[in-house]
Amino acid sequence: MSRIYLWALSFLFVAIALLPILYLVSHSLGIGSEIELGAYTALLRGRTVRLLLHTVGIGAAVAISATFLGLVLGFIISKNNLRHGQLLTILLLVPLFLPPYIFAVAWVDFFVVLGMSPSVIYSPAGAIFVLTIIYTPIAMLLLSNSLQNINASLEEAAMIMVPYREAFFRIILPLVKPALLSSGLLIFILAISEFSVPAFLSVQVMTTEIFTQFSAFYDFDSAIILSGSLIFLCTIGLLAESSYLTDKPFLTIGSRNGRSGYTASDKDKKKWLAVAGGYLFCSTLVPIALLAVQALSPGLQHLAQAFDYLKAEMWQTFLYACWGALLLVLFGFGFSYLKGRKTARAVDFMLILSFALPSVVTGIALIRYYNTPALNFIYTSPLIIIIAYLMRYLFVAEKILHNRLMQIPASLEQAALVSGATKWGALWQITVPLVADALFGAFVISFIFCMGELGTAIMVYPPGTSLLPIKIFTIMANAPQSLTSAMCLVALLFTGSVTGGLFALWYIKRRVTARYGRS
Amino acid sequence: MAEVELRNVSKSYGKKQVLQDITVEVKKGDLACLLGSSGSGKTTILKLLAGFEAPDSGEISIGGEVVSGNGKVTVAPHKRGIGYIFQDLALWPHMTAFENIAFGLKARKEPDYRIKVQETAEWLGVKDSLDKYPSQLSGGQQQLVAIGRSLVLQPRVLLMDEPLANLDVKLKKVVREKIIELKEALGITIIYVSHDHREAFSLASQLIILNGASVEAIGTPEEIRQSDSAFIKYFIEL
Repeated sequence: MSRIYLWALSFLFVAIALLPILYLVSHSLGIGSEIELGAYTALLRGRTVRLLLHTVGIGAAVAISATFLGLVLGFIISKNNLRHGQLLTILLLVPLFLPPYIFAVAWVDFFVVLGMSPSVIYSPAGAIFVLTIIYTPIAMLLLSNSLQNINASLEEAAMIMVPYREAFFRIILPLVKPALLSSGLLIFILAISEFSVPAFLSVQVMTTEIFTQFSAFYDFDSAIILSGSLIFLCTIGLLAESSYLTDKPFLTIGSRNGRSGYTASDKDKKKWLAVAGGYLFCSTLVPIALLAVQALSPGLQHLAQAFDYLKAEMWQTFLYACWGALLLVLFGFGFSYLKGRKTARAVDFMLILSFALPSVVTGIALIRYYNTPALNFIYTSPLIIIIAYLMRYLFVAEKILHNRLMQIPASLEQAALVSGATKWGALWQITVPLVADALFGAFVISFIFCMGELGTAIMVYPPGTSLLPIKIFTIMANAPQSLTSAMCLVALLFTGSVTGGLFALWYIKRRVTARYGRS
Repeated sequence: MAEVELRNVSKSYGKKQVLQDITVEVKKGDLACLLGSSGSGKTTILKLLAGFEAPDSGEISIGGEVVSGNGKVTVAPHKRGIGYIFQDLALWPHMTAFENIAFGLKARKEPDYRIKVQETAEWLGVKDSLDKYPSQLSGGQQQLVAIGRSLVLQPRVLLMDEPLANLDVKLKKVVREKIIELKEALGITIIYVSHDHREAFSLASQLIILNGASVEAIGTPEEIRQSDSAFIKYFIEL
């Protein structure tokens, strides 16, 4: 029975989110469109080839450096049993949840406030640097999970014979090789798909070119063909590694198991804590602090101005992000529950593909598909934004919920069924309360992502709609740096305070329930 | 002189006391069997002896040298001269049987490691399986490769964590005979963890019975059989 529901849900997702991509791919191949041959030959032009190589080069550099840093951080958080290790892990994840453009602005501020020339950051090397910091948490999550899952006795068997350093390089590293490769590949795909960072740092890559061709030159044919080539690149990469990536529980809320064979000495723990703390300080805390310093450099004037510019967008963004997060949780729970303990590779691949596609490509796909007489009612309404959120982040929400559901023994629901509960009753009374923490976590994470979404929203936002990231991105092109920073700070504080408020409510509810029971 | 000695060793995980004031001596060449029910701290003793963990208090000596004490591991696992056969065998899946057995010898940069691996494999009867990966070996062959990986380094103490637990009756007999053979041939000290008293009585020259977090009794199988302890009587009857 659940297979039928899974098919129905998959069909719905395909109809609203995947068909636009297929439609775009078919158009880029000239099926159902009238793209001139000249547009295809443009792909072979020196400039396009250079752009493609440039994009691949940046993606590869980000993948290598972020995977290396992720391995070090993953080792620190998974193998050292540090005090406040969970807090450290959450703090190290911050760059992943901040809108990428805010990070780019923060790093420009780093150079401006410290009196250095920001030209260093307005370069491919700068883009590599910023993207590395943004994507290192993904590598850290994947690799810490893989390191945690290594059978402790495999490590111990080596430690009997050689020092831990040698055991790490000869036994542990080969065992996490699949995770290293997958992490590198996923980050490569995400890096070549990223739009806002290269756009803000004026670095020419495929995504910025597609955006320019589409939005500035109205050369839709070129934009579609370039999008098709980027979709091809992402799909090939994902096909190679999707089975590994979709199987890994790297986004887990709730209990995690795994015993480490390695017990770090107090001295080593201090050393590793200093490394992780130093990285956190330099990569995240300093640029964000300097963003605040830059925003406040002319006094409160720019902050007030930024607030004034953005106040209308705040409510609208909040509302859309709430709807987006709610829908993401519903779809995510639906998929994860209906998949159950079985593998559903087609569903997994569908979700990871829509997640990893470049945001501007997703935007073009949505425009081409929905900007038709039959579907115009969606295209001209805020629904198009919600669909964009669904396409971009359903993989994340589903992953969080599926991992949590997998931790709950099937026998708990089965016990309810044999006690006379209906399928829905068992789901509502047994499973949902047990995954409430993950439902909340998935909502908050989806909300944060939706609040910061720029690449797709900037392509599809309908008339009368104005969102925080779009407004900031539009103004920042001609605004002084301190005003740009002030707008980013306002967006950051707004998202942070809403998220903080949600967590406070959750915490209070848990305390009250723990103290007085559910009634 | 005792080859292995635990003096007043205590260990807890969080609030759970796993070992409390344990004092045990095992003589050179003995096969001592740690016997007790689940959760009685048998494997923890092996982990402490191996140096994977430090005791909260007390002292551990191997060959007269203090290897752990004052809550710290003072001699690293690879410098203790021990071998360890894990319950799940812990054969490295990305290495062949040959590479598994040769790993420690290569780390020591022994030039004739190939010959030593071949000799050990021949003695254990797994010479023909050396180029296979663990997943391609039968359960018994995996067990023998795990034994070979430890033995090839000629440890002075061999720690075995329920090595027969996952084998069928036939394979149990083969591996049990190999263990007796290696003890007699090499004269190494073996500390063997088991929860099966029949297995323990048939193999051990010394039995250490654990109950809760403490030692209930120490003695030869005969002495233990004649013990008046209600726990031992109950345990043996099970």
